[in-house]
Amino acid sequence: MSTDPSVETPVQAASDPDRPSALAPAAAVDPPAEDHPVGILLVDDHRENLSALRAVLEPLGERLITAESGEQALRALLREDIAVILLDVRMAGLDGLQTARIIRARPRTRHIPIIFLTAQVSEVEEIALAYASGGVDYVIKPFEPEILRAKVSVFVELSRERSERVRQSRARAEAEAVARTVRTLQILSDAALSHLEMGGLTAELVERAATLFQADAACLLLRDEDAPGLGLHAVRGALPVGGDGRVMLGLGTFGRLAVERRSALLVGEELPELLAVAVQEGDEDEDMIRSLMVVPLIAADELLGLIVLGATAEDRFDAGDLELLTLAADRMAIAIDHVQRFAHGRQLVETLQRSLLPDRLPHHPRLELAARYLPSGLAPQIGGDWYDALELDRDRTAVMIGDVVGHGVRAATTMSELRNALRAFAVEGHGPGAALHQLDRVVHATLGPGMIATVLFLVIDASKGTVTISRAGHPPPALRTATGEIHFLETGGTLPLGIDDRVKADEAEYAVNPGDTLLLFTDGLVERRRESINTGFDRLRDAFIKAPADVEELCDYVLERTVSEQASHDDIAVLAVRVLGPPLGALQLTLPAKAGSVPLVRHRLRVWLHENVPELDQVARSDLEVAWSEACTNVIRHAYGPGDATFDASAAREGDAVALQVRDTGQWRPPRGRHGGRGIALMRELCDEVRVDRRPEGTTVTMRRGFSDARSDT
Amino acid sequence: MAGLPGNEPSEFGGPEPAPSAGDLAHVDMQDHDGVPVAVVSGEVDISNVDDVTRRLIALPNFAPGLVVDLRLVDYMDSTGVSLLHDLASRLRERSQQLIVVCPPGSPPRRVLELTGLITRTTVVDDLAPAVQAMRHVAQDLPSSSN
Repeated sequence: MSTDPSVETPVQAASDPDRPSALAPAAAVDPPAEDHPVGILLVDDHRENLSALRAVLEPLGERLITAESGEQALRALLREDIAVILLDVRMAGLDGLQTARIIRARPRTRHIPIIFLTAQVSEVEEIALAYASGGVDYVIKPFEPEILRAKVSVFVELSRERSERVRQSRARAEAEAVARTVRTLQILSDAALSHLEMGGLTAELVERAATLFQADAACLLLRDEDAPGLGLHAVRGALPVGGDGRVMLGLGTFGRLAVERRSALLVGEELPELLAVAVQEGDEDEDMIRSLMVVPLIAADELLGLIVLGATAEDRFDAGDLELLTLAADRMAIAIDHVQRFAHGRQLVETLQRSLLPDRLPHHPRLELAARYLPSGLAPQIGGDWYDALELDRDRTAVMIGDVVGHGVRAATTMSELRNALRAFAVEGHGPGAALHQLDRVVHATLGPGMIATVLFLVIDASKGTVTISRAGHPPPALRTATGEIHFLETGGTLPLGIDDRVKADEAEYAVNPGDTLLLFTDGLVERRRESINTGFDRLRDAFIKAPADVEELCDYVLERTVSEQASHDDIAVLAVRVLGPPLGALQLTLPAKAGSVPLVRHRLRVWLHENVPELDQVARSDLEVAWSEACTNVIRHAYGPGDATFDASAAREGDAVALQVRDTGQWRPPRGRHGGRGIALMRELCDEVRVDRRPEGTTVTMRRGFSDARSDT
Repeated sequence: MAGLPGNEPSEFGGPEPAPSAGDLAHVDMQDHDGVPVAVVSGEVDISNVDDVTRRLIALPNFAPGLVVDLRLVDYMDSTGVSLLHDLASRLRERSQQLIVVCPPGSPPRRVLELTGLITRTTVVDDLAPAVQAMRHVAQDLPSSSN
């Protein structure tokens, strides 16, 4: 039993002869009159809330007991016989969830239904915790008086029904039946609470119901959105409805029971014809289903479906079983209804969210990018996280990530506006700091007060090997160096957008080197409730250190190791950028256009090939040296006049090929004299591909030579 | 590539400072029983082709021709090909012979083959047959010329 040190040890019902218990033998109970008011316990640490609840529930005519703390509530439960508890989640001292767990841990009180009162709709994690703590329902404040009254009265009726059974029965067996009712409801509710996904929930419910009622066959049929009638959702043992499990509303035994919302116990000739035929055709006599319980599942006055239990023995089920299953079905229906609404909302949200994020990231030859977006695990709500990346020019790529505070359509549309505006500023050529400052002015001018957003904006210059960062209230990006160190690039931080547009965002520049990886993320990745954010950063650091080099795999790896197993309360976006290009492996030289440069570039290539393409065979190495020298020789001979000039030469590995490039900014004279034309011809012999791109501003010669396997050089 | 003696590829080990043009190639003029042999070693490219040419054309007028031994050449590109092509023309104008020694599979051999020079110039695999052939030319010289 879970106990809190600040709470007195609960008094066991059995050792308290003055107090009646629902589970105690009926003889010990003071029989209440039919309309005897039942106790409703209202728990809230704000008196005005208690007054409001009283006002709403008074018309029910029941006995209202109030408590201003969890401790008071637990004491009241020792004294009073309570039918239903309304419990505020957020209270000073013992909070609602802790209180509920203690109530559930006490045998005397564990059956009492608890309706949680939560402050806002966004506190979905609380709602999930509330279910896990034993809540049967929740009400969001400020509540609709009508709805609250309706919900409470359902549970009051249930309690009265139970009391009625206890009062009417003098026999111990009856009392045990009550105990069984409570236990059954509890077992089925537990199943309902532990699932947020329909497949798992229906399978569990059918499994538990079949076990509890010793059914040989069980199934759950639910209304489908995209098909008429009821469809089969879970089955255990044989299918007790026959056919393919589809039931048309209003047709056949099952269809009529569903429409009439009537529970039924069917035996012998009452069994549906289709099933009877199927049974008659069955070879094994002992497998025939001879009795059925059919109970509709109804939530919020909507027919959700049917639960059907079948048995091979004609006398397996009795009227008591049917009544019990009918009670249990109410709880199943509530759980199914919640999951359906949740799943539906979530699907809509995901579709909308993905439409707001880029379909693809730019393919820069020197950068590898990958991104992931995870919607909030619990709330069927659209989040405000976003990311984007675009190529600014040949060398520079802009990468951005942001988080609009709040959820819902407004946050999403804001996100979309910010993303487009920031794109525009980036394309116009604003640096990160200036772009964020512009964006802040947009936020102030158009979005109005109260809309706060964080943004991180990076410009990566692959050829210079730099990253320029500006961030507005956003968590810093993490940098993993090629040597495996992790740095959070913390400078350049300022206020979130929407706070003060006179403050200009700082900008900081860092070096990025071959093999470095940048990880941008939103706070959902590092924040967990009831945990210091430093713990989250440490967890991220540990995951990032060990993550694979490939950015796609890296994103998955980091998410797997940082996202809580429990559904996250926030959405999460991550974006990884790995720096390739010249700093990583490639060779890039700028040299004077003089004959003496040719041996120099060749020797640099020789060393580079040795280090970066070790599998290359000797002939290929020599060939590449010749091709590259020929291209450089041509530049020196043909591109420039006698004045000082330079040319660029680069070599890079591209998968199973080596790409060489020689670029000048001169204008070629036509080949002349004894040596003319021989060089180009030789280059074409030595490489798989030679491209000469001659333009007014200069000439670029690109050569490529593939290598499929490393031939040994003996 | 066959591990031919005296024709090891250059050291590919670590980064080494690029040699100055003067160090890039050497030309050693030798006399093998009256046959001049120019042993070229190192790398021949645009940066040193003029120096190498100057050394090679400093050939006595009475010589029957020239054996250019490329067995120690690690690198040669089309500038080397042009050099040999021009050298052959110059010698031909003087009724002198050019014989190039270049073993199969070596880097300069590949360039000679790919540029087609091998079909227009006498290229032999080893030095001894080159010297022998040249001596034969020398013996024929008096009768065939004057």
